[in-house]
Amino acid sequence: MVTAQTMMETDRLVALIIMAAMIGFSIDRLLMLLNRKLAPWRFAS
Amino acid sequence: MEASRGAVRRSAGVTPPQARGKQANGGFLGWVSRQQWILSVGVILIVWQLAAAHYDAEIILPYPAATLKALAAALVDPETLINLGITLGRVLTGFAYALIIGVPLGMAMGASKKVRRVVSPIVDSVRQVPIMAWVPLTIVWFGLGDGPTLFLITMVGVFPILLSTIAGVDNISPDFFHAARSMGASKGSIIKNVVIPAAGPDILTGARLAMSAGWMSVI
Repeated sequence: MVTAQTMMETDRLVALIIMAAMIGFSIDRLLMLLNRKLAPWRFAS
Repeated sequence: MEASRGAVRRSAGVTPPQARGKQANGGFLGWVSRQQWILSVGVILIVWQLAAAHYDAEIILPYPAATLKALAAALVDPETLINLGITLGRVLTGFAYALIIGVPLGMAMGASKKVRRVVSPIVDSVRQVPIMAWVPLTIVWFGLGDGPTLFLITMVGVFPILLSTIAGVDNISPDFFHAARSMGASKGSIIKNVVIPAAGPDILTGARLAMSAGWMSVI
């Protein structure tokens, strides 16, 4: 990402930002899934 | 009844409060339905395209088409993927350190008022130090390799985990302890069968916060 910034390749930079955000999002959702699996009594309606 | 409620929920696009129990944190996409998600992404893309056309300078704001092309290229680029893997490994290691430090300490602090009174001032003051202030110190301590990054991720992650663990242990109703002890449970069994299941979800929430904070701090 730093290379993209120094080479002024802004489209690659924004693309990498989006990719990092997507991965962070997936990690968060995975942990949430883990939470629901390990403690189902909290989420039963 | 579940099916019709589900149909209402899906057509309205918003989860009504009384149906919230089952979808407490939403599915993979969160509270919103799939149509709303596609709609928001579409609106963002349209606004982006208009803004980029307005500025018309590749340096200031790239067009969405070019960015999406670069995204597709980056997703299959081996160098990017390897770096991503290394970064992910570092975040996971730092996260593991934060768990190892935070969970036992949090349980001790939640369980015993004496421990909390002694440790709490230190923790609360160290917590206020801005993250970037640790960087020069860690470079001096650990050298220029993996050390500073790992320390940063751990430092950023340990405090959410610690606070959530304390809150989780605090929230265990004393009835559980009375019930367990009246059935003759030993100390270890209490920890395994009462404290961990009851405080577990709060600890996992803290873990979620720590994980996203760690990922953001290293990128």
